[in-house]
Amino acid sequence: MLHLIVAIDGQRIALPAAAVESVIELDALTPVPRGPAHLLGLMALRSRVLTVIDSRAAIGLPPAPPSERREAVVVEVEGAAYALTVDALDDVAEADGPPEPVRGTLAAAWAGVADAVVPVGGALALRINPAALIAGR
Amino acid sequence: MDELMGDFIAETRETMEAIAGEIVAWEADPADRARLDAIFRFVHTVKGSCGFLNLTRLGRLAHAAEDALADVRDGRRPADAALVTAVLGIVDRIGALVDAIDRGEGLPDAEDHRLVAALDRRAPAPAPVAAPPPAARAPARSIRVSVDLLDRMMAGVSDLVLARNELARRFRDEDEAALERLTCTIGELREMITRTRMARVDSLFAALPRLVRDLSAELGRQVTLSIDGGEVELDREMIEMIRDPLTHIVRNAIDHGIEPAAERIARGKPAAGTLALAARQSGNQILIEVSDDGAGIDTARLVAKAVAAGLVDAGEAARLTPACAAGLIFRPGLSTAEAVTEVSGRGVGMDVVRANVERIGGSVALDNRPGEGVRLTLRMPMTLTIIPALTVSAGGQCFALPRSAIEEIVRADGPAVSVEQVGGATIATVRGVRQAVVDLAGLLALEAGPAPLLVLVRPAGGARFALAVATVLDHEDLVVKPAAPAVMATGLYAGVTLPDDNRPMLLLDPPGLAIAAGIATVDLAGPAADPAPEPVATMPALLFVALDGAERAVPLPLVERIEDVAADAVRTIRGRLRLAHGGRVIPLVADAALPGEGSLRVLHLSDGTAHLALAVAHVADIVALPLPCGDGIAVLDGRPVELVDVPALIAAAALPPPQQRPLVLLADAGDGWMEMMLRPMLEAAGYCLAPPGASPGDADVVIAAEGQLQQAAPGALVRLRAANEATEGHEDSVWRYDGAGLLAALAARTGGR
Repeated sequence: MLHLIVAIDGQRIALPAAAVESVIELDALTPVPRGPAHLLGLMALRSRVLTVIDSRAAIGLPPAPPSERREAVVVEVEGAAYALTVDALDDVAEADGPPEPVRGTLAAAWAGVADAVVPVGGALALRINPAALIAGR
Repeated sequence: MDELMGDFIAETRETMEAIAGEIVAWEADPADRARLDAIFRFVHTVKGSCGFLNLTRLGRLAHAAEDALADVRDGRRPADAALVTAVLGIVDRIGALVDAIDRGEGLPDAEDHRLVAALDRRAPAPAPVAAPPPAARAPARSIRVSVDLLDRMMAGVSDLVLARNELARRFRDEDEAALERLTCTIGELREMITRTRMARVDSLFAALPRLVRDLSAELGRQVTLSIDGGEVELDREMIEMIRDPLTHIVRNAIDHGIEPAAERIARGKPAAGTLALAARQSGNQILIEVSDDGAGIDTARLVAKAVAAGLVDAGEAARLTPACAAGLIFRPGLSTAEAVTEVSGRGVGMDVVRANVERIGGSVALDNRPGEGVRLTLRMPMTLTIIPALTVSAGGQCFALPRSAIEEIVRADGPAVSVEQVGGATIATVRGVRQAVVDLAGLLALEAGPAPLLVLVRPAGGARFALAVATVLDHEDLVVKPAAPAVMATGLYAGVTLPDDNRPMLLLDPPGLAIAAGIATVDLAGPAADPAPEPVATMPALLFVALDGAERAVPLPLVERIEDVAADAVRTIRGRLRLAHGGRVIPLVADAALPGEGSLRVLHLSDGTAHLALAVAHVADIVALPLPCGDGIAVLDGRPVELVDVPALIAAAALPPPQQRPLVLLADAGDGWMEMMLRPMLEAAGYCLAPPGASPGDADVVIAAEGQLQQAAPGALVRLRAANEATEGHEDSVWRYDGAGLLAALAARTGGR
């Protein structure tokens, strides 16, 4: 199964490529006053409105050091389009094997959002559930 | 009804085409459960629709086939060849009958009985039937399209708008005709797609005659139903969302409103009660009125019940006006029916009706006349997706507000407005009416800043409050989309919209703002307490104070936006005012002298083709202006208001067409004196100057210096002389510094044009 490999806080994350619509660079955002902290804002992608989720804030990590390029992965969950920020885009790769349940105890940040580990590119990557990330903590 | 029938015919044909293959496959393998289910669903659907549309013959056929197939599904009967043949016969017959209905013809029904009889398991096996030859079918005039596809088409058009805007920015200085055409085409396309979402209210009213007939029979009432305005169009989704509320209202009217015949006669009313439904369009809203001539609401009993149920305390109850008391029927948990009946009176009803209608941005108004009847008015926006909105800014961010909730916009420092701090609360008094002030930037935890404008908002079912904002930017029709759950969970927003600049904008939810600000009070009266407005023909208009101090109004749809421009962007060109604005020069109209410096407030007016800026002293209000009774004067709150005649302004502001202005040729001695000294004066006076070197014959009049052009015809010649005194033989010449004399001479030569 094809996966998109990204990095969040130095962790290799795998997202099933079938669930990813596209990868975009964040542009001007419209903030949502009094929205949850991990809701970065709204952004237009052609005629659609994306809800931009700050993935680091969603799992309780401190904000990333500011950089010029901010990239995000576009997914659709329950009919709404979201852009999930990532620290870096790594690769699109075929998994070496089927996803496996997580053995061991995950760090608190990942416990709520990771649902499996995927062997890909010779190393394990954490597979996260976009819906859990969007819900925040 | 016609539309429902059309839908039914289209749907039945579509399904028949889809299951044609299933039928053949089922015939080959009668034990195939999936095929059997598909055919069962088809006859079941047809049966259901027939009951609704009162097509008894079709219904009988479908019902017979459904019974037989149900037996097969339940294993009470084998699917033998005889049954398959009989069912196929019925399916074909349904097709033939549908075609006949479409053509408006009849078919003999002896064949029906034979087909139904053939279903009987004791019937002798009939000869297999061949598919009937396809009957000549009227070409389909409608197709069914999923709403999802329409939404995607709409999104495509929105993309086109954005692409057009981008093109317009890049080709700003190029020929604009092609872009204009593109804009027009896209606009038309958008309107057409919006229209495809619309359906006639008929489809909502179609089921009511039957409902009224059944209910009146059940309750022993005599009711005459009158329906009007079925041709009014409404968004399809909206129709579905008010179907249940409307049914509730009709049930209530018959159950609680219209009295039994004997009682009516005793009260001197006709034995049969009247229930009238009327739909009409009013601006961007659709009104549906349901009125009956029944007993009306017994407010005394209603209030007593409300007190008993603990909804209001006795002291409060005593102060309720009759209208407020009648509005209690919208409170949950109240029902005036003495006994709970099958029809209504379970205490769920009007509160649910009101909630449903308000959820789609509408409102319900109640007009109760005890002893004479009740009139309920449902007001709804025409579509769910496009709403008229006001865009405002606060704390450096722009937001949209649904215009249906906005009553008025005033300046906090304006006349008849005072804002006071009382124990931490801010209260605005506008023309003697007090309301809470909610600072939008503060409420949304945005950067604080001056908020000099108060938007008076009345949320559906709540009390009016004043929303303080920094600026009011524009009013426009916005395409609203639902926002993500995390955004909606804040309770402050009703959706998100994408204006033409492609920056998403949040649509504020007025009731949510009131709750977040802690000022939401249950308004017992609510919109229901508002007296039903008299059906006076009105138009939305922008009220302003002109530079000359007079109050005037301009039709709101013509106002593109309100803007402050620098006074030095205004120039007088050939006697007309022009405003340099955004890279274009547009005509400006002012009633009085403009300030030479500082800024100037203008209304940008446009009918889609021509643009015009109108200088105003200040903008006063958005009002529903009664249509002018004549001479363009409307009466608003008892005072006359002049409605600006925009076409006349556009015509008056236009420059005189150049070809009609007299062409003047300057024939000087070759020293450039005339060019230098006369050209500005002549142009300002409205003459057009011929290019240097033009032939004197082309000009309407020639101004020549002494010694030049001796041969020109005297009628078209003005001769200038260098000396103040005329020399002999040249008395008609003009001293070259005598500007007034020159203009008079030109006017005489050109016939005063």
